[in-house]
Amino acid sequence: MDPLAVGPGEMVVLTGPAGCGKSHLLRVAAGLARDDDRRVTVGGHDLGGMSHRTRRRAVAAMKLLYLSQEAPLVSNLTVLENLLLPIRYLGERSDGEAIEEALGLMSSAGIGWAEEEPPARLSNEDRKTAALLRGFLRRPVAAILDDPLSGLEGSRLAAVLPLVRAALGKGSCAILAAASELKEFTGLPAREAPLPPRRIRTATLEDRG
Amino acid sequence: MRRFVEGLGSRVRAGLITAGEMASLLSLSLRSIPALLGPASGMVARVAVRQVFFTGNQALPLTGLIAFLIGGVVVIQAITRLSGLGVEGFAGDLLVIAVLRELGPLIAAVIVIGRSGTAMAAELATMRLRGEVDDLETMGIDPVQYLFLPRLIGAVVSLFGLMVFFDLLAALGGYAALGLQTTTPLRSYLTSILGAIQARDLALIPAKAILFGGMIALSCCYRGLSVGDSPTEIPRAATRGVVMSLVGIFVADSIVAMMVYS
Repeated sequence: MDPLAVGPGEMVVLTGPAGCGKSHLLRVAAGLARDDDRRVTVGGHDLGGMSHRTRRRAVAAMKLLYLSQEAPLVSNLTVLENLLLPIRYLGERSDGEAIEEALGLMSSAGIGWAEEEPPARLSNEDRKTAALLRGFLRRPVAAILDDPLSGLEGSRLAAVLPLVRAALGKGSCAILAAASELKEFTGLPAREAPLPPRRIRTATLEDRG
Repeated sequence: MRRFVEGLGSRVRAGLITAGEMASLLSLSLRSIPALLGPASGMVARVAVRQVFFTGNQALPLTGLIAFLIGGVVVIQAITRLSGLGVEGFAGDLLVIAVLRELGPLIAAVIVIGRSGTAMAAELATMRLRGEVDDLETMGIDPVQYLFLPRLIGAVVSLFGLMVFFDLLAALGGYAALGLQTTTPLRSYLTSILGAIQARDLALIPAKAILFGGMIALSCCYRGLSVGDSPTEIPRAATRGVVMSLVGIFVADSIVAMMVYS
């Protein structure tokens, strides 16, 4: 695979069949997995090679947004508390401003009703929407999104797309995403980077004879 | 024989690894305390308060009931065995020796293990399996500071409160039992209790709260955070956390008793 670079204001979508390693590559980029064959840097940092403490500092400084396919939310917080969690914890903005913006986003995405609900009450679509809102509420500088739009329709999709577009439009956010097809990102200035099926390097089948 | 030695060796090795990882978890949490001076303090305090509410406040009725009954039982047994020897004068000593020094801290700790230790281990194991712990990391949030430290603080604070509450209710239960059998006035009962309490008994209440609460939070959170990929590991993590906590508090209590009272 050729070297791949994603600059500020750019969105690159890794595409390929299931099992070709898209999610793994994104986990490597986020520093959650190691890959001896590939080197992925985010903002000049090889996150996977850092200690947990250094990585957390780098990630917080970059306001990196990583969204896995499962799009988990912290289960013992309400949905609104989840949206505010990184902003409050890292002291990124005033609480009042963040709450107002979060409530506005939730309302426009059609999940305003879930403000005080625990994530367990949300459907998969609503949970993914909430996780995306939480990420873009932070105004990230870099975003790593694993299949972010699959399953989103109607008001959810209509609320999320402008956020992605706005992040790209300001030229401040570089987005690396993965999906089975590029057409999921219709309406976004996304560039495709097909990922070939993972090649088997060595395989050995031995019998006892 | 060789298999036995190998098995023993692997168990010792696993035990040393576990001890090392737990020491690392404790060290990381202590090192994250200075960072609480920053914006994270509010979030950590909020989680700690929730833990105190669940671990301490919600356990008060059960702890009170058990303490009242145990205080009563200790005094009833004493009256039955020592009738005619002026047991009224010894009731305070008996309660201080049996309840304040040993049963109170141990039973309060067992209640915390049963109610909250299992919950801590299962909750953190579920969060780990759902990817919530990794998610915190990718947002730049320290899981040790956000998940473990408030539970450690919550367990210690709650256990201290429960131990004091236990002692008070046990004294009340003791007096109720004494009142059924004798005509001992409350004043002389209280005087006998206060006369039996030594300074080291009082000092050991917060010390045991820190020791036992720390052990419970450390064992249960460690087991919860160490699960692998399978949901079947959640109940295993809870069970292992409970067993480890129980062994820890009983061993620690024995050592403390030998060091302080022998």
